[in-house]
Amino acid sequence: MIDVLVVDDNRDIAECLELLLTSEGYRVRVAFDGQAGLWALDERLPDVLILDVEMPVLDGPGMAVQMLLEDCGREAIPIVLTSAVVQLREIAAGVGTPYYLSKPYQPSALLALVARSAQERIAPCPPIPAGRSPCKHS
Amino acid sequence: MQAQLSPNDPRYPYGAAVRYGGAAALGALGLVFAAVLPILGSAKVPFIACYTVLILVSAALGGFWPGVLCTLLCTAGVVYWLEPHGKFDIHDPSETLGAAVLVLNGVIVSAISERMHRAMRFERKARVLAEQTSRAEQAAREATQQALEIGVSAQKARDEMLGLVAHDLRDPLGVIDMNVGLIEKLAGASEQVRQRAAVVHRTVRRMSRLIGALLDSSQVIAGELSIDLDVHSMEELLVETVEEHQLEAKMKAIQLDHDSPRGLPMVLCDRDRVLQVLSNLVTNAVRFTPSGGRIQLRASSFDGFVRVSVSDTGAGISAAMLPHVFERYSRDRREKGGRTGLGLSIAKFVVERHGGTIQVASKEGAGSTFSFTLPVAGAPPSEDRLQLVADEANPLRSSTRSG
Repeated sequence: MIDVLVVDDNRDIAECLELLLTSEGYRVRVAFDGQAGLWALDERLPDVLILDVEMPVLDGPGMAVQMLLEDCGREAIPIVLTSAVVQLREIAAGVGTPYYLSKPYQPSALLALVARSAQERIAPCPPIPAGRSPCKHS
Repeated sequence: MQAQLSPNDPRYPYGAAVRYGGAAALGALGLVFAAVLPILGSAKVPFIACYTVLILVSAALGGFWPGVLCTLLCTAGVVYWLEPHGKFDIHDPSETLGAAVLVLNGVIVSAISERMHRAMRFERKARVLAEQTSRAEQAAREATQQALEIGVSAQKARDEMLGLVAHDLRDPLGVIDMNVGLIEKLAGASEQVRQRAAVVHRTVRRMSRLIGALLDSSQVIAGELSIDLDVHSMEELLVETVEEHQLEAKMKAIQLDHDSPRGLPMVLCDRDRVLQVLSNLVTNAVRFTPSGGRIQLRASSFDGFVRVSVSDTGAGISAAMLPHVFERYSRDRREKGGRTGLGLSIAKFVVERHGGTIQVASKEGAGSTFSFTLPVAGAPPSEDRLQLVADEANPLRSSTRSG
C-alpha cells in the first residue's frame, strides 16, 4: 500500500484529499503545517509527500529544506507541490521537484500525478549554489 | 521722454529726488569749481574735461533729464570760468563753440545713458521672466512626475490586489471541485448526480480559467510573466489541445481536428504557455462557432518558424473590431460574449515573448483564422527576436506592439 502524507493548512482540502486518496487505496496521513509535517515524518516515512506552499508555522518550501538537511531518508521522498500561488512553477524549481499542480485541480489530475511520483520516485534536488556538491541521491 | 519727468518713475532704480538732486549737486560742484578755483592757465583743460565726468555720472544715475540739468549747470560753470573770469559772459567765438560742443556732448551722453538704462531695465525684466518661466516649468515637471508616480503606484496596487484576490479565490474553488468529485465518487452517484457534478466541474474550470487570465494579466503588466524555453514537438501540443477540447466541441456538435505535415521541425517554447495560447484560441473558436461547424488546427514550417493556425466556421469578427481583438479588456469582444477580453492579449504577449507574431484574419459570418509563429529550435535568431531581447526590460512595450 502506497503511503502518502498530505501537508496543507486548508483543512477542507486536506481532509478531502485524505478521503479521495483513501478511496483510491492509498494509506494517508494528514498534517496542517510544515512543522507538524516534519513530526509526522519522524513517526514514519511516506512514499509520497503532497505539500502546500503557503502555511503557518513552517511553509512548504521551508519544510522541504528541513527535509534535505539530514541524510535519514527524508531527502529521498518525492514531493508533489500544490498551491494556488501564482509563481508555483518557480517555487517548484526552487524546491527542485518536477511534481507540481496549481490549485484548483481536477482530482483525477492529482491522482495521476501522485501515482506518477510514487512510480518514478524522483527526489527533490534544488539548484546547486556555486561551490557546493550536487545532490547525493540524484 | 515726457514720462521720465514724473516724480517717482518706477523704471529707475532711484527716486526722482535723488536723481534730480544728485544731478543738481554735481552741476553745483561744477559751478563751485569755476567760482573758487583760481585761473590755472594750462591746467584749465583737465578741469574742463572733469565736467564731462560730472555729466556722465548724473546721466548714468538719473537718466536723460538729470544729465541735461547737470550739462546746463556745468556749461554755466565753464562760461563763468572762462575769460572774462567771474562773469557769465563769453567773447571769443571759439570758446562759444567749445561751450556749445560741451552742451552737445552732455546731451549725447545723457541720451546714451538713457538707452543704457532702458537696456538694463529690459535685461532685468527678461531675467525675472526667465526665472518665473523656469520655476513654472519645474513645477509643471514635478506635477507631471507626481501624477505619473501616482498613476504607476495605483496601477501596481491594483495589480497586486488582483493577484492576491485571484489567489484567494482559487483555493476555495479547489475545495468546491474536489468535494463535488468526492460526492460523485463516494455516493456511487446516479446519472443525474453525475450530470449536476459535471456542471459544477465545468463552472469551476471556467472560473479557474478566468482567475488564471486575471493572474496572468497582472503578471504581464508587472513584467513577471516568465517563459521557460525548451524543445518541444508542435504536433504533440496540437494533439494535446485537441484531446483537451474534444468533449467541449462534441457537446456543441463541432468537428475539431488537427493537421500537421510529417517532419515538422521541433520548436523552442514554453510548453505550458503555448498550450495556454492554443487552449484560449480553441475555447474562443468553440464559443463563437455554431453547432455543426468545424475547427481546424494546422501547423506548417517556414523560414526558421513554425506557423500554427486555428480556423473556425463561426460568426467571424467585424472589420471594425478586428484591429482591437488583441487589446486588453476589448469591450467589443466582451459584449459579444468574449468574457474578460484578457485571453487574446495574454496570448499575444506570450507569443511575442517567444519571438513570434500572432495574427487574425476574419470576415463577419465567414469564420476566423488566428495564427501565430514560434521559432524552430536551433534556428538562428532573427532581428525581431534580438529586438525582443532588448524589449524584455520593458514588457509593456512589447505587449502593446501590434501583431
